[in-house]
Amino acid sequence: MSVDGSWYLIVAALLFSIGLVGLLIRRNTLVMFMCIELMLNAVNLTFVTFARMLDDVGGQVIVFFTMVVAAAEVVVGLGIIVSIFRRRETATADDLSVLKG
Amino acid sequence: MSALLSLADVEALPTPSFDWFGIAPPVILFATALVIILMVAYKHRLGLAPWLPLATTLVGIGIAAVYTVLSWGKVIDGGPYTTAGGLVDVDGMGIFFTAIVLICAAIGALVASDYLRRERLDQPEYFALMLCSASGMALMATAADLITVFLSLEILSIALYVLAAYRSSEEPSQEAGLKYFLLGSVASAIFLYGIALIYGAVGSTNLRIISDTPVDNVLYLAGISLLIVGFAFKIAAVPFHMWTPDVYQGAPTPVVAFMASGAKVAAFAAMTRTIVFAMNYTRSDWQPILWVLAVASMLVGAVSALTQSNVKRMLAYSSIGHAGFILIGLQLSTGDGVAATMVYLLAYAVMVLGTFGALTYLSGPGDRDTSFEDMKGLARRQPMMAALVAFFLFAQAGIPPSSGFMAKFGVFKAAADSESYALVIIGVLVAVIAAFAYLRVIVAMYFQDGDEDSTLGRVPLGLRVGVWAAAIFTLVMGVLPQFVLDLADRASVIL
Repeated sequence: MSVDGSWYLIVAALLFSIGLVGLLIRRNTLVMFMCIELMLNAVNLTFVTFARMLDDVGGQVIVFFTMVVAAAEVVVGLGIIVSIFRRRETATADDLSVLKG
Repeated sequence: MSALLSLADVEALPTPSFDWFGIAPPVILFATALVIILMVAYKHRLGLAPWLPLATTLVGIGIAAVYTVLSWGKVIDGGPYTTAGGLVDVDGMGIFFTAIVLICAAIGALVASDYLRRERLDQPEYFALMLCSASGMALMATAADLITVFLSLEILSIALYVLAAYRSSEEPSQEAGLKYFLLGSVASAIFLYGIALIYGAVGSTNLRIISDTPVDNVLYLAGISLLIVGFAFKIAAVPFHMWTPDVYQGAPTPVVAFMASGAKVAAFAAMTRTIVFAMNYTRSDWQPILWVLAVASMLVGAVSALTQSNVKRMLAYSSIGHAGFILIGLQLSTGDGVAATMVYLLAYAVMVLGTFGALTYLSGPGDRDTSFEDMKGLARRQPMMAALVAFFLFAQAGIPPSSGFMAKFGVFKAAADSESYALVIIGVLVAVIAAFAYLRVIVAMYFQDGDEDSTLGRVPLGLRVGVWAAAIFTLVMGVLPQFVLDLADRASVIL
């Protein structure tokens, strides 16, 4: 049984939207962070699907680049979150309100 | 090697030809960053002179600058070319933007070195991160493929996230870092989704192929809008500017100097390449979007700058406004418009480096004294620094004789030539409103009484060199602009 490529694209778009909405409504920085990863992986799925539909290996190569970037982002993001957590023992975005005009 | 390959009965893989000469600036910047990281690794065994990281940084930037100049000569003589398997374009515009990035890195490093000593953050890692970020910026200026754009965007951003949170024990810096990181990553993800959709529509991520393949379907247009959202975030255009004031206020001041100038220049360079050049045939689709972004950024930037009580925050809104003025040039999508954009970015980068550089010194130990209250009576305490800040602010307002005036004039002239009179009228009106925000700082410095005695020490050497260099450049470019205008004209032609 083969599934039409566009279904994968729809799933990817759904995942991307879930990530974006989650980022906007959740307030825990770790969960927000996971939402970003979800968005990046949704893009990966899109790339792989297009690569298959176009019969072009380029899109699959891009996925590796994206994975590396996502990993680098995890390192930096967790570093920042941990340094904040050390100081205030909270991981909620709403508590970060020193800066305002 | 070839014998081994024939033994295994494998054909040699075709590798793309690399013109190392053409991609030398980003490679050298990155290599210098690695050298500095090695210094950190051997610090305890061999010791580390305190001046060494800064000196290495400046030498690295100097070598990259030499290659940039040589590369310019080669492109002038032999024309532009593509290298690294179509991932990098070596052309006049890319070299021009690379040069601006190098200026940003050099002045950024000079300003930062004394700051780091003052705040007891004296670690070479700062320079390594800055050079990493600068190499991303230089690469982004010459990117000829959407994947190169994305990767260089990430190289520059990830290093900047760390730099924004560099004062890891101070709450404002942590908060700035986290906000920049979360919103920046979302923008990157959206940008990447845009690339994916364009890849799906065109079948390639190469900008040349994209510009040769006229597609105009929903997928493609959705891709363009997502790309524009990603770029608008990086250049801090309204309505994607929300992070800017917080990050500029909370991040260490020398980091803001580097970030506000370099990151914006690189993002605009890539935006010119992808949107204005590669997607030129869908001009009628994206021009209105950029028009709205430009007007909204100018208005929001100018009006919000008026009501701020912190100078760094005010300057953040002013940089949002500048993004609007620069977008006027891009939106025209003419050769003149692009040349005007390039001149504006050069002038803007140097002015902003100077302003934040001076502010790095004036913010005092702890990097806290950046409110309007702290600026009062500054002219009496620090006459020289106050005069420099006043000059930079006048330049940002676009008052002659300064590069800021030339920059604004060029953009308005290009817009008037393409008969975008509405943009010119709005732009001039907004420039007047924006001038008031700058005048407020100058009034506080010169005409209001504050503390008489200064707690600040002597102006450190590196910072003085950096800020004076920026001031002299701003003045000379305002008085004798012809050289820069010619360079920009030639650069925008050689594509």
